[in-house]
Amino acid sequence: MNDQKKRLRINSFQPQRRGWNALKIFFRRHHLSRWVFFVITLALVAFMLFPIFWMVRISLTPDSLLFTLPPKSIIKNINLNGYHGLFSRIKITYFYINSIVVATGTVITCVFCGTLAAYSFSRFKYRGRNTLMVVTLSAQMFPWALMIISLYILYIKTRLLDTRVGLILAHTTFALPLTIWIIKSYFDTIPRELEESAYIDGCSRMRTLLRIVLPLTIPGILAAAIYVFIFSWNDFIFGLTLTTQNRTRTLAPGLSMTFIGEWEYHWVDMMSSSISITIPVVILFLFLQRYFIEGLTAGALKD
Amino acid sequence: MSGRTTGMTIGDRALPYLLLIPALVVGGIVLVYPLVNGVLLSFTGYTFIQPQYNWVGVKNFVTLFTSPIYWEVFLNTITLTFSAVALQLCMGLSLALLLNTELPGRGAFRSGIFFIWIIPEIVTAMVWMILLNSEFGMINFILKYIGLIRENVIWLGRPVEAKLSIIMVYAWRGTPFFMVMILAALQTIPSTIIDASRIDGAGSTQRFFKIVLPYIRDILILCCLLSVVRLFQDITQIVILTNGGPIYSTTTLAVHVYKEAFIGLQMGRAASIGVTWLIFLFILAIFYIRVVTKGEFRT
Repeated sequence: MNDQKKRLRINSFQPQRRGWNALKIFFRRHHLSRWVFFVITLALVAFMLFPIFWMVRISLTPDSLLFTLPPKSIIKNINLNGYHGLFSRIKITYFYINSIVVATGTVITCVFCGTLAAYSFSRFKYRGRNTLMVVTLSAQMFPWALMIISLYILYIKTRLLDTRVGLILAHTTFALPLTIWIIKSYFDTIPRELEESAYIDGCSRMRTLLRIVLPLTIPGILAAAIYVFIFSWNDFIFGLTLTTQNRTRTLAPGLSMTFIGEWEYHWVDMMSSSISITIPVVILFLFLQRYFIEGLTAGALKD
Repeated sequence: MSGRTTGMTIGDRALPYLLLIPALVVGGIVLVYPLVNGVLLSFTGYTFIQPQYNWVGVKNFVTLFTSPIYWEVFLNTITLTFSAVALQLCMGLSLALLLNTELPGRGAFRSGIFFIWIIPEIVTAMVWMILLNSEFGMINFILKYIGLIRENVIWLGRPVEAKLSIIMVYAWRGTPFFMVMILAALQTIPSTIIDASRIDGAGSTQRFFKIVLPYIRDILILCCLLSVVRLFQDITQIVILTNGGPIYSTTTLAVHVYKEAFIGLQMGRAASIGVTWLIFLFILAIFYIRVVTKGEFRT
């Protein structure tokens, strides 16, 4: 009887067909200890995801129920005001456009510079290669806060402050090392024989890279591109320090400027805008998560 | 033409360098220059109002090392970073081990958890700000409901509690990364080894400590190093949650540099803090490079 209860609860969590079959096999094959694992995992995952759930809930709560404890069900009177006026607030639209431009620009520059450099590191032996690779690796450890100061001074001098190009340049620098590393580990897996046979057929080096090697590296490049996009989209501190006006600000610093540090907090608007800036990365992640996770672990796992 | 047949024309020899040029230009301008310039700045009295490189020698460093604030900040950085990483390691490892068994829907679990890691930091920081609110936050409500606390705890407004909150938020956000990396490492363990140990009669505890742990040791070290570095760089979450306060209790080196430079407008002094941090990271970097490139450069 107790067993049945548990089974019911688990079943209701997994509505898809595949899940059902997996569940049947699972129950046939295993004994009770496995369920305990399942319930523990479920509880842990639910615990971890609670803040996300709460963010969604707050964004839909009517103001009158915002501070009631214990929390009441809001299903009957969902408040869509947070989403309704999202884009009529002109500032957020600006932030969006800036973020899209900056993130796309960063991805393009990173992938271009990164692929070429990764190919060079992966295929050639030359003087200075090891030093450059060590610098690449340790670049993510440089104290960013220190470098932002110099960057700020440099940007004032070169009039790059408050420009999207300046932000793209800054993001590129800090995302480039890992881009190179991810793509390099993909190049390393492609057998050299492939290129050699292309040379014998009379292909030049550049042509071989473009026509034969590059198509095979697409998963790695995709992984790196997603990483860079997320890095640039999520960045807060560069956007905060290297822009001074709403016109050029990106989403993360824009939101903090809008919502943090004022005398009264607009919780509902804050959460609905938070969700709106999360959605693009989530969509990207859902479609391309396989590449992303592969790329992230590839560099670390190869022997 | 004869060069063609041996496969080495001048163009071919220059190619590896040519390929590096774009990365070197970008990296050189915006990576090396700021670093060198930052070190130079730390020996000057550069401020926002007086933007000149007037040499003051080691004065900045003397002021730094004699001020108790610096040492408090230094200690904070160590405490927050290392306790958060320890928590991340524990939680990430246990989640990975759980998800490595044949659970139904483990793909969904994995994506669900990993999802936390890709949300903008500012968003998670804002959510935690609401959850940790002392009056209507859910954390206080739940703890009171279970009976662990009697009165509302002011999480972000008291030194010790604020530190705990930051550690918790750090741990929560970093766990998915550990989980994904460890899970990937676990899946590379050949099943033959596990089967062999089973035949030899090893219990699950023994198997974990004698086979699994040594197998994934390198990846654990790598994850810890990466996570330490990442938390050292973090400014966002602290600025949003506590803004380094109350007083200096949650100010880390990164936040200190940022606030000294962009709120105090003392670029020179801020740079000197950054340089001390650079030295610490340099030691970490040596470790990191040895872990990541084991054997790589000897080929």
